[in-house]
Amino acid sequence: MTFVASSALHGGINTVLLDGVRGERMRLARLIVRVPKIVILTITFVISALVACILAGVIAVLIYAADSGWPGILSLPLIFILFTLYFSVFFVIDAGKGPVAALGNCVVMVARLGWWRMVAAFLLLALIYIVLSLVIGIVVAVLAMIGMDGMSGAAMLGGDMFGGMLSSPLAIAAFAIRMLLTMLAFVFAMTVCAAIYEQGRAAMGLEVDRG
Amino acid sequence: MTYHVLIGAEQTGPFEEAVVAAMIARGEVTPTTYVWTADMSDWTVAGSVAALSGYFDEAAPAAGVAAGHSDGGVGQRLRIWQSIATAAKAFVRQPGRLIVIAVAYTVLGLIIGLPSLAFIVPFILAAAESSGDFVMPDMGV
Repeated sequence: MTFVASSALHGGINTVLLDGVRGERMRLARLIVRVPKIVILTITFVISALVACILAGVIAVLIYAADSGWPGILSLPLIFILFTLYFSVFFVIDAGKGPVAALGNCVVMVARLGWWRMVAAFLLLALIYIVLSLVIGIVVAVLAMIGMDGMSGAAMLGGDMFGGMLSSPLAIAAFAIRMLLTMLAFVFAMTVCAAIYEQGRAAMGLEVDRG
Repeated sequence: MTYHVLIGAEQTGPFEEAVVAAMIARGEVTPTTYVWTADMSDWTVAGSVAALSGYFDEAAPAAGVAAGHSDGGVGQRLRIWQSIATAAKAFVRQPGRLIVIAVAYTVLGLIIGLPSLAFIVPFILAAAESSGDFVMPDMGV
């Protein structure tokens, strides 16, 4: 059920973001994805999850076999592959591809656009998101210092996490602002992905599916 | 602004301006190629479209090189900064819409994700506690 709901959510949001990237008006009605596409997206997500599980298993075996002091570094290729497979959402909602074709097109797109450039884009996106999150964290910390202490570490460490968070309307506002800014940073990263897909589609000569 | 491009007898697109510029640089779109946008009443040759005409001057030396349409051409490669600039433009053009999308994503994401978290978190906490590295804090609730 979570897969289905998540597919519908990501399909709708990416449709609207793609409109924005193309300079068109972002209509909220486009957030609603048609049922057949939700089914295809769900199957695509399930296949992606299976691929991720298999790769995670392989990496776990490698870590166990190597007994390395740097096991975490091995998860980076997995995260990059998941980043790559995320573009399948665009191939389904925009180019009208099926689950297997959409995942295959992700690989073709990376090959066309240059895999090391995609790695660079992935690392840059992660960096931008981390920096934006840090800036948001600093803003919230400043707000905490001037009185909106609901989000302060002291309130959480004192064992009053939920009480502190909801201690006053100002604290609730600080929490909401932090959530909103963090999600805006995430939506920006998704918009960059939409722009990358647009370049990939042009490089592959794919048509937009108007059906 | 997005453009539909007539390549041979085939209608392609829509492509954003930057993508059409890349196609011009590769020699896939020439001044005599027909393009169409929502603002135009009919198909128009790209050379007479003010927004695109400047790209032909820049592309002139490279067009000969790109005539072979090799997939390894620089024009086909990912332009990272262009992607970020395009996303930033979308944010600047319609900030209100993006705030609504972020709010919708947060609310719907929480609605979708909370049942999963409620199912998974107890298992993670139990596993962490049994390993002895983690002690459940007194949350005071």
